[in-house]
Amino acid sequence: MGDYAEYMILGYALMGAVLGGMVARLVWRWRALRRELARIEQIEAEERGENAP
Amino acid sequence: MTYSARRTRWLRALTAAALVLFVLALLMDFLYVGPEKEQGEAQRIFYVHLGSFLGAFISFGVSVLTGVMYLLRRDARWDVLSLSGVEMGLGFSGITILTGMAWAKPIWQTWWTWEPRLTSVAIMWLAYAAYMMLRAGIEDPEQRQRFAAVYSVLAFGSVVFTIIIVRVRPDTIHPVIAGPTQADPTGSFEVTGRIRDTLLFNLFVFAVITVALLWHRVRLENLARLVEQRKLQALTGHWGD
Repeated sequence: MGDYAEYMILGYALMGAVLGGMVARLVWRWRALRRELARIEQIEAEERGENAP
Repeated sequence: MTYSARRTRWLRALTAAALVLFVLALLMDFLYVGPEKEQGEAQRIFYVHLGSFLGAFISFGVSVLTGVMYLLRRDARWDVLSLSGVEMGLGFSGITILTGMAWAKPIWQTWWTWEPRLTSVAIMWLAYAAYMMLRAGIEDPEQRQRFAAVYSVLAFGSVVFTIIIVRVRPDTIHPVIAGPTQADPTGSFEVTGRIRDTLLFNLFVFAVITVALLWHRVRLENLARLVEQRKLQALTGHWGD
Protein backbone atom coordinates (compact mmCIF):
# COMPACT_ATOMS: atom_id res chain seq x y z
CA MET A 1 0.00 0.00 0.00
CA GLY A 2 1.47 3.33 -1.05
CA ASP A 3 0.80 6.94 -0.13
CA TYR A 4 -2.77 8.01 0.56
CA ALA A 5 -4.05 4.42 0.19
CA GLU A 6 -6.71 5.08 2.85
CA TYR A 7 -8.23 7.86 0.71
CA MET A 8 -8.21 5.61 -2.35
CA ILE A 9 -10.04 2.92 -0.36
CA LEU A 10 -12.51 5.52 0.90
CA GLY A 11 -13.12 6.81 -2.66
CA TYR A 12 -13.78 3.35 -4.07
CA ALA A 13 -15.90 2.37 -1.08
CA LEU A 14 -18.08 5.46 -1.56
CA MET A 15 -18.39 4.71 -5.27
CA GLY A 16 -19.35 1.09 -4.51
CA ALA A 17 -21.87 2.15 -1.88
CA VAL A 18 -23.66 4.65 -4.13
CA LEU A 19 -23.60 2.44 -7.23
CA GLY A 20 -24.67 -0.58 -5.16
CA GLY A 21 -27.42 1.54 -3.61
CA MET A 22 -28.67 2.57 -7.05
CA VAL A 23 -28.84 -1.07 -8.17
CA ALA A 24 -30.38 -2.27 -4.88
CA ARG A 25 -33.05 0.45 -5.05
CA LEU A 26 -33.97 -0.62 -8.59
CA VAL A 27 -34.23 -4.28 -7.56
CA TRP A 28 -36.17 -3.53 -4.36
CA ARG A 29 -38.66 -1.24 -6.11
CA TRP A 30 -39.12 -3.72 -8.98
CA ARG A 31 -39.90 -6.55 -6.57
CA ALA A 32 -42.29 -4.38 -4.53
CA LEU A 33 -44.16 -3.32 -7.68
CA ARG A 34 -44.39 -6.92 -8.97
CA ARG A 35 -45.86 -7.96 -5.60
CA GLU A 36 -48.33 -5.08 -5.74
CA LEU A 37 -49.37 -5.97 -9.29
CA ALA A 38 -49.84 -9.63 -8.35
CA ARG A 39 -52.05 -8.57 -5.43
CA ILE A 40 -54.18 -6.33 -7.67
CA GLU A 41 -54.58 -9.17 -10.16
CA GLN A 42 -55.55 -11.55 -7.35
CA ILE A 43 -58.24 -9.15 -6.06
CA GLU A 44 -59.44 -8.63 -9.63
CA ALA A 45 -59.78 -12.39 -10.13
CA GLU A 46 -61.66 -12.78 -6.83
CA GLU A 47 -64.04 -9.93 -7.72
CA ARG A 48 -64.74 -11.48 -11.11
CA GLY A 49 -65.34 -14.87 -9.48
CA GLU A 50 -67.89 -13.37 -7.08
CA ASN A 51 -69.72 -11.52 -9.84
CA ALA A 52 -69.86 -14.51 -12.19
CA PRO A 53 -73.41 -15.76 -12.93
CA MET B 1 -46.68 -4.24 -19.67
CA THR B 2 -45.00 -6.88 -21.81
CA TYR B 3 -41.73 -6.57 -23.66
CA SER B 4 -40.47 -8.57 -26.61
CA ALA B 5 -38.23 -11.52 -25.69
CA ARG B 6 -35.56 -10.11 -28.01
CA ARG B 7 -35.40 -6.78 -26.16
CA THR B 8 -35.26 -8.54 -22.82
CA ARG B 9 -32.40 -10.72 -24.06
CA TRP B 10 -30.55 -7.56 -25.15
CA LEU B 11 -31.07 -5.98 -21.74
CA ARG B 12 -29.83 -9.10 -19.96
CA ALA B 13 -26.77 -9.26 -22.23
CA LEU B 14 -26.06 -5.57 -21.62
CA THR B 15 -26.42 -6.02 -17.85
CA ALA B 16 -24.05 -9.00 -17.86
CA ALA B 17 -21.58 -7.08 -20.04
CA ALA B 18 -21.74 -4.08 -17.67
CA LEU B 19 -20.99 -6.32 -14.70
CA VAL B 20 -18.05 -8.06 -16.38
CA LEU B 21 -16.66 -4.76 -17.70
CA PHE B 22 -16.95 -3.18 -14.25
CA VAL B 23 -14.85 -5.97 -12.73
CA LEU B 24 -12.29 -5.59 -15.55
CA ALA B 25 -12.18 -1.82 -14.98
CA LEU B 26 -11.49 -2.36 -11.28
CA LEU B 27 -8.70 -4.81 -12.13
CA MET B 28 -7.21 -2.22 -14.48
CA ASP B 29 -7.52 0.53 -11.84
CA PHE B 30 -5.65 -1.53 -9.24
CA LEU B 31 -3.37 -3.89 -11.18
CA TYR B 32 -2.69 -2.53 -14.68
CA VAL B 33 -1.81 1.01 -13.71
CA GLY B 34 0.57 1.95 -10.91
CA PRO B 35 0.29 4.77 -8.38
CA GLU B 36 1.04 8.27 -9.64
CA LYS B 37 4.45 9.57 -8.49
CA GLU B 38 3.18 12.63 -6.57
CA GLN B 39 -0.43 11.75 -5.69
CA GLY B 40 0.30 8.10 -4.89
CA GLU B 41 -2.69 5.75 -4.53
CA ALA B 42 -5.18 8.62 -4.24
CA GLN B 43 -4.79 9.32 -7.97
CA ARG B 44 -6.60 6.03 -8.75
CA ILE B 45 -9.82 7.70 -7.58
CA PHE B 46 -9.62 9.83 -10.71
CA TYR B 47 -10.70 6.90 -12.96
CA VAL B 48 -14.07 6.42 -11.27
CA HIS B 49 -14.42 10.15 -10.58
CA LEU B 50 -14.28 11.01 -14.27
CA GLY B 51 -16.19 7.84 -15.28
CA SER B 52 -19.08 8.69 -12.99
CA PHE B 53 -19.15 12.27 -14.30
CA LEU B 54 -19.52 10.85 -17.81
CA GLY B 55 -22.40 8.71 -16.50
CA ALA B 56 -24.04 11.84 -15.06
CA PHE B 57 -23.48 13.75 -18.31
CA ILE B 58 -25.07 10.96 -20.39
CA SER B 59 -28.01 10.69 -17.98
CA PHE B 60 -28.68 14.42 -17.82
CA GLY B 61 -28.17 14.59 -21.59
CA VAL B 62 -30.85 11.92 -22.07
CA SER B 63 -33.08 13.88 -19.69
CA VAL B 64 -32.82 17.15 -21.61
CA LEU B 65 -33.24 15.55 -25.04
CA THR B 66 -36.26 13.52 -23.98
CA GLY B 67 -37.63 16.55 -22.12
CA VAL B 68 -37.58 18.46 -25.42
CA MET B 69 -39.16 15.46 -27.18
CA TYR B 70 -41.94 15.41 -24.59
CA LEU B 71 -42.66 19.11 -25.15
CA LEU B 72 -42.82 18.50 -28.90
CA ARG B 73 -44.85 15.26 -28.88
CA ARG B 74 -46.61 15.21 -25.48
CA ASP B 75 -45.98 11.45 -25.31
CA ALA B 76 -45.59 10.08 -21.74
CA ARG B 77 -42.87 7.66 -22.90
CA TRP B 78 -40.47 10.61 -23.30
CA ASP B 79 -41.30 11.70 -19.76
CA VAL B 80 -40.39 8.22 -18.47
CA LEU B 81 -36.96 8.52 -20.10
CA SER B 82 -36.47 12.07 -18.86
CA LEU B 83 -37.27 11.11 -15.26
CA SER B 84 -35.02 8.05 -15.49
CA GLY B 85 -32.18 10.22 -16.78
CA VAL B 86 -32.46 12.65 -13.88
CA GLU B 87 -32.59 9.90 -11.26
CA MET B 88 -29.56 8.09 -12.66
CA GLY B 89 -27.74 11.38 -13.18
CA LEU B 90 -28.22 12.29 -9.53
CA GLY B 91 -26.67 8.98 -8.50
CA PHE B 92 -23.69 9.29 -10.83
CA SER B 93 -23.03 12.94 -9.98
CA GLY B 94 -23.28 11.97 -6.31
CA ILE B 95 -20.44 9.49 -6.94
CA THR B 96 -18.46 12.24 -8.70
CA ILE B 97 -18.84 14.58 -5.72
CA LEU B 98 -18.03 11.95 -3.07
CA THR B 99 -15.01 10.49 -4.88
CA GLY B 100 -13.79 14.04 -5.55
CA MET B 101 -13.94 14.76 -1.82
CA ALA B 102 -11.95 11.60 -1.04
CA TRP B 103 -9.28 12.73 -3.55
CA ALA B 104 -9.29 16.37 -2.41
CA LYS B 105 -8.51 15.64 1.24
CA PRO B 106 -4.92 14.40 0.69
CA ILE B 107 -4.21 16.58 -2.38
CA TRP B 108 -5.86 19.90 -1.42
CA GLN B 109 -5.75 19.25 2.36
CA THR B 110 -9.50 19.75 2.58
CA TRP B 111 -12.65 17.68 1.89
CA TRP B 112 -14.39 20.63 0.26
CA THR B 113 -13.67 24.15 -0.91
CA TRP B 114 -15.99 26.63 -2.60
CA GLU B 115 -13.87 27.00 -5.71
CA PRO B 116 -15.68 27.49 -9.08
CA ARG B 117 -15.88 23.84 -10.26
CA LEU B 118 -16.95 22.40 -6.91
CA THR B 119 -19.49 25.17 -6.44
CA SER B 120 -20.94 24.63 -9.93
CA VAL B 121 -21.19 20.84 -9.48
CA ALA B 122 -22.97 21.37 -6.14
CA ILE B 123 -25.41 23.74 -7.85
CA MET B 124 -25.93 21.15 -10.62
CA TRP B 125 -26.73 18.38 -8.11
CA LEU B 126 -29.13 20.62 -6.18
CA ALA B 127 -30.81 21.78 -9.41
CA TYR B 128 -31.62 18.16 -10.31
CA ALA B 129 -32.63 17.28 -6.74
CA ALA B 130 -35.13 20.15 -7.07
CA TYR B 131 -36.46 18.46 -10.24
CA MET B 132 -37.45 15.44 -8.13
CA MET B 133 -39.13 17.71 -5.58
CA LEU B 134 -40.96 19.56 -8.34
CA ARG B 135 -42.38 16.28 -9.67
CA ALA B 136 -43.41 15.18 -6.20
CA GLY B 137 -45.25 18.46 -5.65
CA ILE B 138 -47.54 18.36 -8.71
CA GLU B 139 -50.65 16.17 -8.57
CA ASP B 140 -51.93 16.39 -12.13
CA PRO B 141 -49.87 13.95 -14.31
CA GLU B 142 -50.04 16.01 -17.51
CA GLN B 143 -49.04 19.20 -15.71
CA ARG B 144 -46.28 17.34 -13.83
CA GLN B 145 -44.81 15.99 -17.06
CA ARG B 146 -44.98 19.39 -18.80
CA PHE B 147 -43.39 21.29 -15.91
CA ALA B 148 -40.73 18.60 -15.45
CA ALA B 149 -39.83 18.71 -19.15
CA VAL B 150 -39.40 22.50 -19.10
CA TYR B 151 -37.39 22.26 -15.89
CA SER B 152 -35.11 19.52 -17.29
CA VAL B 153 -34.22 21.83 -20.19
CA LEU B 154 -33.42 24.70 -17.81
CA ALA B 155 -31.49 22.46 -15.38
CA PHE B 156 -29.19 21.26 -18.16
CA GLY B 157 -27.71 24.76 -18.13
CA SER B 158 -26.04 23.81 -14.83
CA VAL B 159 -24.35 20.82 -16.55
CA VAL B 160 -22.96 23.02 -19.34
CA PHE B 161 -21.89 25.58 -16.74
CA THR B 162 -20.05 22.87 -14.75
CA ILE B 163 -18.18 21.70 -17.84
CA ILE B 164 -17.06 25.11 -19.10
CA ILE B 165 -16.32 26.81 -15.78
CA VAL B 166 -12.81 25.31 -15.41
CA ARG B 167 -11.96 26.64 -18.86
CA VAL B 168 -13.09 30.23 -18.34
CA ARG B 169 -12.35 30.95 -14.68
CA PRO B 170 -8.65 31.57 -13.99
CA ASP B 171 -9.11 31.10 -10.23
CA THR B 172 -10.14 27.44 -10.27
CA ILE B 173 -7.84 24.91 -8.63
CA HIS B 174 -9.62 21.90 -10.17
CA PRO B 175 -7.41 19.92 -12.60
CA VAL B 176 -8.37 19.93 -16.29
CA ILE B 177 -7.58 16.68 -18.07
CA ALA B 178 -8.38 17.61 -21.68
CA GLY B 179 -8.61 20.94 -23.46
CA PRO B 180 -7.39 24.42 -22.65
CA THR B 181 -7.64 26.20 -19.28
CA GLN B 182 -6.68 29.66 -18.06
CA ALA B 183 -6.08 28.40 -14.55
CA ASP B 184 -3.12 26.94 -12.71
CA PRO B 185 -4.77 23.90 -11.06
CA THR B 186 -3.54 22.09 -7.97
CA GLY B 187 -3.30 18.31 -8.29
CA SER B 188 -2.76 18.01 -12.05
CA PHE B 189 -0.81 15.10 -13.47
CA GLU B 190 0.36 13.98 -16.87
CA VAL B 191 -2.04 11.61 -18.68
CA THR B 192 0.21 9.23 -20.52
CA GLY B 193 0.52 5.51 -21.31
CA ARG B 194 -1.28 3.26 -18.84
CA ILE B 195 -3.07 6.15 -17.13
CA ARG B 196 -4.65 7.10 -20.47
CA ASP B 197 -5.59 3.46 -21.29
CA THR B 198 -7.17 2.98 -17.86
CA LEU B 199 -9.03 6.27 -18.06
CA LEU B 200 -10.46 5.53 -21.52
CA PHE B 201 -11.52 2.02 -20.48
CA ASN B 202 -13.21 3.36 -17.34
CA LEU B 203 -15.05 5.98 -19.39
CA PHE B 204 -16.30 3.25 -21.74
CA VAL B 205 -17.36 1.01 -18.84
CA PHE B 206 -19.25 3.80 -17.07
CA ALA B 207 -21.03 4.61 -20.34
CA VAL B 208 -22.15 0.96 -20.63
CA ILE B 209 -23.24 0.87 -16.95
CA THR B 210 -25.19 4.10 -17.46
CA VAL B 211 -27.09 2.77 -20.48
CA ALA B 212 -27.87 -0.51 -18.67
CA LEU B 213 -29.12 1.26 -15.52
CA LEU B 214 -31.15 3.74 -17.55
CA TRP B 215 -32.83 0.89 -19.42
CA HIS B 216 -33.70 -0.88 -16.15
CA ARG B 217 -34.97 2.38 -14.66
CA VAL B 218 -37.24 2.94 -17.67
CA ARG B 219 -38.72 -0.54 -17.22
CA LEU B 220 -39.23 0.13 -13.53
CA GLU B 221 -41.06 3.39 -14.26
CA ASN B 222 -43.25 1.66 -16.85
CA LEU B 223 -44.16 -0.96 -14.26
CA ALA B 224 -44.86 1.73 -11.65
CA ARG B 225 -47.22 3.52 -14.04
CA LEU B 226 -48.95 0.24 -14.91
CA VAL B 227 -49.55 -0.46 -11.21
CA GLU B 228 -50.94 3.07 -10.74
CA GLN B 229 -53.24 2.59 -13.72
CA ARG B 230 -54.51 -0.77 -12.42
CA LYS B 231 -55.13 0.72 -8.98
CA LEU B 232 -57.15 3.52 -10.54
CA GLN B 233 -59.16 1.01 -12.55
CA ALA B 234 -59.81 -0.97 -9.37
CA LEU B 235 -61.01 2.14 -7.54
CA THR B 236 -63.36 3.16 -10.34
CA GLY B 237 -64.58 -0.40 -10.88
CA HIS B 238 -63.22 -0.74 -14.43
CA TRP B 239 -61.29 -3.99 -14.00
CA GLY B 240 -59.12 -5.00 -16.95
CA ASP B 241 -60.08 -1.95 -19.10
